[in-house]
This record gives sequence, C-alpha cells and structure tokens, in this order.
Amino acid sequence: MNAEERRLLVLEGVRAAYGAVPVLHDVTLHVDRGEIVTLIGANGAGKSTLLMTLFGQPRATAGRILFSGQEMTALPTHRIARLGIAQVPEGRRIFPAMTVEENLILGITPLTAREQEDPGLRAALLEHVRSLFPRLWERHRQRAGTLSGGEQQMLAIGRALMSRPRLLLLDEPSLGLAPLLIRQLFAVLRRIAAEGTTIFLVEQNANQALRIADRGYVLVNGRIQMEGVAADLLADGHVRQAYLGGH
Amino acid sequence: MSIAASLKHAARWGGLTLLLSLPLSGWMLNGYQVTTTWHRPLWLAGGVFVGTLLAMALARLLEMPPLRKLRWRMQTKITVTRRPALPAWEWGVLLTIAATLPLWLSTYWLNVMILALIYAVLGLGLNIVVGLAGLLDLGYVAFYAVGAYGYALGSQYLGLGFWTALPFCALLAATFGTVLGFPVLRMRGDYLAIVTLGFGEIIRLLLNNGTEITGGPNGLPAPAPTLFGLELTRVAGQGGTPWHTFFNVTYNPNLRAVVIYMVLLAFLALLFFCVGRLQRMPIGRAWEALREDEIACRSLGINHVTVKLSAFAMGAAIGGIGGVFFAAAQGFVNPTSFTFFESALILAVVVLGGLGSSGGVVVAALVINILHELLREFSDYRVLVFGMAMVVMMIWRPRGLLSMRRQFFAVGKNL
Ligand SMILES: Nc1ncnc2c1ncn2[C@@H]1O[C@H](COP(=O)(O)OP(=O)(O)O)[C@@H](O)[C@H]1O
Ligand SMILES: [Mg+2]
Repeated sequence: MNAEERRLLVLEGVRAAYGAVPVLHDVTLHVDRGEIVTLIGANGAGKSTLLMTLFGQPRATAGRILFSGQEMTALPTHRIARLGIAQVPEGRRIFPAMTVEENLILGITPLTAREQEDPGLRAALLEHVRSLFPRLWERHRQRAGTLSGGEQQMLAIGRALMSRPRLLLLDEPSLGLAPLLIRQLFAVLRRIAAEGTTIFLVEQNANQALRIADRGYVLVNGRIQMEGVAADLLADGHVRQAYLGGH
Repeated sequence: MSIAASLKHAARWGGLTLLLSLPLSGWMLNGYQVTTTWHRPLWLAGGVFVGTLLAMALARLLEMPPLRKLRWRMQTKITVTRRPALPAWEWGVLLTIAATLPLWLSTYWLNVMILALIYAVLGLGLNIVVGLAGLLDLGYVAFYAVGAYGYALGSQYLGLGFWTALPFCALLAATFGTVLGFPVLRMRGDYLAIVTLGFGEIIRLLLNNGTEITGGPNGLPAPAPTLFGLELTRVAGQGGTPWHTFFNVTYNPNLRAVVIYMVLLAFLALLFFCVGRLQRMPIGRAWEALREDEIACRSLGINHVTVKLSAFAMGAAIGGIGGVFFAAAQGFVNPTSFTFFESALILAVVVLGGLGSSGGVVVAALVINILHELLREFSDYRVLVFGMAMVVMMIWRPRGLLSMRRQFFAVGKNL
C-alpha cells in the first residue's frame, strides 16, 4: 500500500465558522488505516468543532474532507454516518429514556436495510459490545438515563461500534471520569484499535491520549500548531509545558 | 398447560362472563315481575368459553416443535424476547367481550362506545406524534376534520363510499400532515405547539367560512356505511339495496351503529397491533430517538427530515381515518365538532394514558368518554371535574395510567 491508499481520513485546508465567527483556520491532517491518532488542545481550541465539521455541522467553508479517497465535504449528515464513520459525541448524548440495548440497537442505523434486519449480525454486534463492556451489559434493560457517567460513556462507545465503523471518532471520552475508569477506558480503546478499527481521539487529557496514540496533533486557536509521533510529543518541552502540567 | 387445566381456565372465564352478564342482560323487568332470560348470557358465556379455548390452543400450537423450531431458527446467544403486556388468550377474551357489547348495550351507550373508540384511534395517532416522536401538536383536530370533511365532501361531490373514503381520507390527511410538517421541521416544544395550534384553527375557520363548498356552520350530511353493497338505512340513498329488503327482515335502526362499532373495533385492534410493531421497527425507534436527542440521531445516520415528516404523516393519516368513522357515525359534520377543545381532549387521552403507551391510551379514551357521559348531569362542572382528575392523575401517576413498557433482549437459556 502506498501512502495515498493508507489514508483513511484526510482534511485539506479545512475552515469552519459559526455564522461570522471563524473557528477553524486551514486545518490539514490525516489519519491512516489502523492508526490511533489523537488531537489535543485547550478548551475552546475548536476540537469539537472539527469533529462536528466532519459530519457537516457546521459545514466546512473551505477545503476538502476525504474519507477513503472519497470526497465527503458536502454530503448530508446522515449520509456521512453511512460511509463507515461513527461518532462518540462530546457529552455522550445517549437516549436517556430508552433502555441500554435500545440505544445500542439504534447504533445499527447506518448499516444497510438488509444488514439491519439480519438477526445473526445484530446478535454478533451486541455480543461484541458485551465482550468489551460486560459491566454495561449487566444493565442492558435499564433506562440509559439512570446509568453512571462511566457507563454512559461505555454506552456511547458501544452504540458507535454497532455500525462496525472503519473510523471511530471520540470527543473527550475521559471527561468527568475517575482516574481508574479513564485507564480502563483507554485500555478498551486500545483493544478496539487492535481489532482493526481506526481511531481519531480528541482529548484534553493529553497525557493518557498520547500514551495510547501512534501520532498526535496539537490544535491551538483553530490552527494545527504541532504534529508528530505521539512519543515525541509526549517528550516535547512545549507540549509538556502547555498540556501535561509541566511534569 | 394441560387440556384439563385449559378447560378449567376457559370455564372460569365463561362462568365469570355468565355471572357478569346475567344481571346486565339476563333479567328483564316485565310489568311488576322480573323474568329471567337465559339465552343471551348463555350465548355470551359460551362465546367467551370457546374463544378462550381457541386462543389457548393457538398459543399451544405456536409452542409445538415444528413451529417452535421456526421461532428459534436464528440460534444465537442473544435472543429477542418480547413480553406483551397481556398474553394472547387474554387479548382473545377482551376482544370477544368487546365484540359482544352491541348485543346488550342500549343504542345510547353503543354510541358512547363508538365515540370512545374513535378517541382511542385518535389517541393512538396523536401518540405517535407526541408520545413517540416528542412533537407537541396542539392542532391534531385538523386532521380529524380533514378526514370527516373528506368523507362528507367526497360523497357529495365524488360519490365516494365509506370503504373508499377510509384510504382516501387517510392519504388526504397524511398529505396535510406533511404540508404542516415542512415548515415546522426546525421547531420544537413551545414554538411547535403554537404553530400547530394555529394550523388547527385555520382548518376550522376555512371549513366554517367556505360556505359554498362546506356548507359553513350548517355543515354537511355524511352517508352511512354500506356492507357488501347493501345499505343500512331504511331507504336506499346510495344506489344500493337496503339490508332489510335484501334479507327480507324488519328494519333495525340500530344496525348502522352496530356495523360502525364492529368495523371500528376491528380497525382499532389492527391499529393497536400495527403501532406495537412500528415501535419495534427502525422507524419507531428513530421516532423515539429523535424525541430524545436530535443531534445524536443525525450523527447515527438518521435522516431527521424523513423521520419527522413520517411521524406527522402517520399520525395525520390515523386522525383522518378517525374522522371518517366520526362522520359516518354522526351522519353529519359541522365545524363545531373540530374546535381546539377536541385537540386538548385528545391530548389529554394521550397524556393520561401514558405517553408512548398504546394500552394506556385506549384505557384513557374509554375512561374519559364514559366519565363524560356519567357526568352529564353535572355538565356545568364537567370540565372542572375533568381538570381536577387530570391534576390528581399527574400527581399520582405522572407517567400515565399504564406507562410505556419497553421491550428487551435476554440472553437465551436453552441455546
Ligand atoms: N454552536 C456554537 N455557536 C457558536 N459558537 C460556538 C458554538 N460551539 C462552539 N462555539 C465556539 O467555537 C469555539 C470552539 O469551540 P469547541 O469546538 O467546542 O472547542 P473545544 O471542543 O476545543 O473545547 C469556541 O470559541 C466556542 O465558543
Ligand atoms: Mg469540546
């Protein structure tokens, strides 16, 4: 495979704005197949906006977004989800009044109608989520709104995995979780990646994120300020200063 | 269950029916004497007995090895378990009892029941929009009016019969629903409520003021339904033969109500079943997900435009069918039947019954309508009593009479 073919997600000079207020300026980055890539940055840098722009909300005002070589910059949101990209949005956004497994079942929406109606596939997908998050499965009949924060995060990830995505986008999954839970969560992300799903991880928790990632980007005020191999970024003086609490 | 146990079970239900129906329809006051007529209660009890047996036999048949195998063909670790609110045989009993009501209800109460069932239909329709999709629609009566007037106008200008009017008005109302849906796609909550409220009023005012076509406040006649081409009225008005002439029996003025009641009951049962299925289908889950979180929905690949419009259209179509039944039952439509108060009442049925709960909606429709009739003597205070009942209900059972049940998956034991 040459470099071109390895690229799963490519952003070229992407700009985005909320109304007249620009948030992203010429963002160029790429994620290769099988990689874990992380995007770190301070609060308000535009990380969430970048993930949302991938899904067309807000739409990129300039530049191109390619998935697996295919241009998706102008596709409607629901069509983007069907390309094989799943999003674990900031704040989880689970469906609180529905049960855990109804939430999971909704995750298969991006699949084709035939796949959705295949009970064998559905069972296999549920089984996969169960093997990743046994604790979550114990509560599969419970209303999702009654889950703890960590369980809700697992549910959001499980729901995203139900569509067998090629690329999994996560927006600050560690937000508000206890340190022990964060470690478990990152271990699961590693496992998901090892099973062949490419991961693009947005985090403020740069330390943990860079430890599991292959490469990383640093976003500052809507611009990519630094990029490189994760281990190098972890060792970099500037990054340590700005995002790792200086130690 | 063994055969003996099944027989005992059926006998118990039959006996109960006999016990219940004897005072209701078996004793008749004849002058100063009470005469006991056994045949009606016995028929009823026999019907329930046989119905229960049949329902249980059917349930057993589904458990038999070949059919059972078919059911478990998808052998996987995780299986879908559906636990209906009531087992199949209880449904059989309920439906049998409901279907025998015209035998012993007076015309007056039969008409009350028809209205109650119409409200149940409307409640199920509105439940899709409000309960499942979470779109607060305060103008639902508009679709009810479209159905009723669609039938009345259709029969007057196009010679439409009752049976063709059902699908025709459903489509017509669905079109109106979609037309309303487009401009309100981006609205939620209060704003949506206000726009739909306006829409309901616009339809009513159009009907009221379009005197040349709709007859304005004077209304329009709506023909009675026909049964296999036979008319149920004393003299033929739609070019067919009256029922009693064809069968050479004496004219029964009750027949119209009985036929409408039975058709309505069958339709309600079908609708109940369909809504239950819809809730488990992708479209039903999408409606609920949309209610919960629109942004999450879109990121999951749900097209919120089609999902919202389909909820509006589906709810409207059901409202339209309710309107056809209403027009056929009343024999007459005019705009005063389609005021905002009706919308509020239908919404009350949905909320009292339990948002999203079909069973609750049907129960609430029955309770509200029967209560409404029982309180007729206090008609000045009816709305007051009604409002208090509502407040008490919301404190006592905020999720409604029968709150919505959720299906679940279970890890199969026998696999
Ligand atoms: N819906 C919105 N409308 C207007 N401005 C927004 C909206 N969402 C985010 N912003 C602004 O865009 C900038 C980037 O926000 P965000 O992408 O959420 O940052 P991050 O996820 O990195 O914390 C912030 O200045 C924020 O105020
Ligand atoms: Mg953010």
